[in-house]
Amino acid sequence: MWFKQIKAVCRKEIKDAIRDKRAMKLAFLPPVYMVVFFAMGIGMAIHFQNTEERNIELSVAGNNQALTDFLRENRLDIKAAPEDAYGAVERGELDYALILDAVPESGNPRTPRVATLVYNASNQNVHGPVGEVRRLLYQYNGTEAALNVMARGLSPELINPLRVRDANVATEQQMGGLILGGVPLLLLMCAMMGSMGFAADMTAGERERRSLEPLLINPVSSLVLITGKWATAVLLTLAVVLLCLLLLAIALYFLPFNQMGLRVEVGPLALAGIFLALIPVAFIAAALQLALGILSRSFKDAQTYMGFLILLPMVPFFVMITNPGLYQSWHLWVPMLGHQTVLKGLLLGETAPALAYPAFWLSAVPVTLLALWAAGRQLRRAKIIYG
Amino acid sequence: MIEINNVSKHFGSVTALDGVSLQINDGEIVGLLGLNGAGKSTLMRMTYGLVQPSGGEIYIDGINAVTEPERTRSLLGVLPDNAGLYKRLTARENILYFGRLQGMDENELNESCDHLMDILGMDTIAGRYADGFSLGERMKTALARAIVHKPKHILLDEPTNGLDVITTRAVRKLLRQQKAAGRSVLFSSHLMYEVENLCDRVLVIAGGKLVAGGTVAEVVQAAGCSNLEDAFVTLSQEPSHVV
Repeated sequence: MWFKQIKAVCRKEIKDAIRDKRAMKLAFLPPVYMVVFFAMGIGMAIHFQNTEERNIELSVAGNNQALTDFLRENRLDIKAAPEDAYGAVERGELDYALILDAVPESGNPRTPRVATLVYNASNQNVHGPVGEVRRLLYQYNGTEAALNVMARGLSPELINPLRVRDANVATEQQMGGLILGGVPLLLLMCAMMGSMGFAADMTAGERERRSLEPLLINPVSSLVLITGKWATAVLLTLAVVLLCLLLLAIALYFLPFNQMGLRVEVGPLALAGIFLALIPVAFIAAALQLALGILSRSFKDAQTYMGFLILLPMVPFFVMITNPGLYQSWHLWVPMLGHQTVLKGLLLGETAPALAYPAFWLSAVPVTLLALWAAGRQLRRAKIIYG
Repeated sequence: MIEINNVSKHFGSVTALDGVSLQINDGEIVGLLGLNGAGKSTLMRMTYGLVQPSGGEIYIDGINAVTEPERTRSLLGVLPDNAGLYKRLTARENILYFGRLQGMDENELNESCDHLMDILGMDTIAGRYADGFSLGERMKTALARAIVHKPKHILLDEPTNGLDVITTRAVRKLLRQQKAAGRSVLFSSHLMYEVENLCDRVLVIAGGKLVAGGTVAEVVQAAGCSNLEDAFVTLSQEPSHVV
């Protein structure tokens, strides 16, 4: 009997929801624009990186032919700086400049000379080019020093007792993680807000249009009503999550990550794994939405209260993005904290820890049951029905 | 049979109902009269188990409505005051939904739904979304929805409020049919002619107490008046009945 009743509630609520244009827009538009903005962001990042690879312009004051030739060979665009180069940078007319001391008149061309790199460090734009110029200056310095010692019959190795080499073991795909860091947040937000409008209508909406009283006069237990409404909310959330995943898969497939030296491949298996991990989040989200919704007098009230649910995934996001090495296995048991790490891993082609799925599902059960129980208890309070 | 024994309800220091006892027999239409705030709706709400009485007992066909509300609810058909519809469902879908929650078989449900829509003249609105219904259309839908499961007892809170003549007649006809089928009907109203026309018995509530009960003639006589309206006003305004 109760199964039949849950089915009746679910059937009616789905029909009602699909006809609710306001809630449908609220549910299915955010994944579209979130993915579009994500794709636009990545697209712009790729575009900027491509422009950055153009030659760096450098204004040089003073003359050191050997050095400027070396810089030109390294694809720097050398220009003559105005007379007061230092002042020009100070006043913001130039972003940065290189001031070279004149060759000493006494004659020895190998006397050490000063090259001053003038820049304003508070200007974010200069860090990239200045870093590159500095690197080239050190390189020139090293080459010149080597020539000096060789001219004296010594091995250039003597002046390089320590050779520093960078070895980045990250694969192209792992480097993709830097760019995909925000995607788990996007997916979790989709799962948290997918059924917000529907849940508000099924609870606060019933109160607002005064249909809750007649509904409760039927011989149906509160738990059956809440379960039927919850099942509807979960189904709709999963539809929203599926749409989000589909759009994301399309975006990731078409974005030219290889131009950034990254490889991003999110296959159907990874997508299925992500979907499975998000189902328990949908369980929790739907139950919390109903519990908050029933306390609200109107649809608008409910949306205000539920707004904070969207912020929930941001807490673990900021925790994990500021402390990437923080991950501990107990995180899996805290809804959404473990998701942050596991979803990112799945996007990068790693396999989820063995405990991940049991932990996600088992930790969602008590939260969901508690929220449903609380919502069911509220449902029949005279204050809720007549308040 | 609905039995209400010595039922009271207090909201904080306010007494909404004070020791009300009454009985509604099968095959009987009973009118409940009372001024606004007299306690009519509270009495009804306690009967269908959404408000707990502070004292006293309510039995429906011998089942305690306070301790086993879910069992008694399937015996009742209720049209509460100001009942809302699902505006994105059609009139028919609204009615069918409640029938399913009552656990009705689909064939029986469709048959009962068709029958009620026919009596209430709802052919033109059956397939229309409830959004934009007139008051009369809303009321008819809510009424059909309340009794689609053929309940043994029917409670109606001001069912003919704001209805046009034709609809009121349809509702009256429907209630007489229910009576003929051996069902009991308790309805509250502010319309004296409605009550006189339809009811076998009248109950008058004032200040949370049941101050008169019996046939229309008995109530009129008890108040020492010549018509029901005067009798009602006299009973309601008697100093001992005014809160």
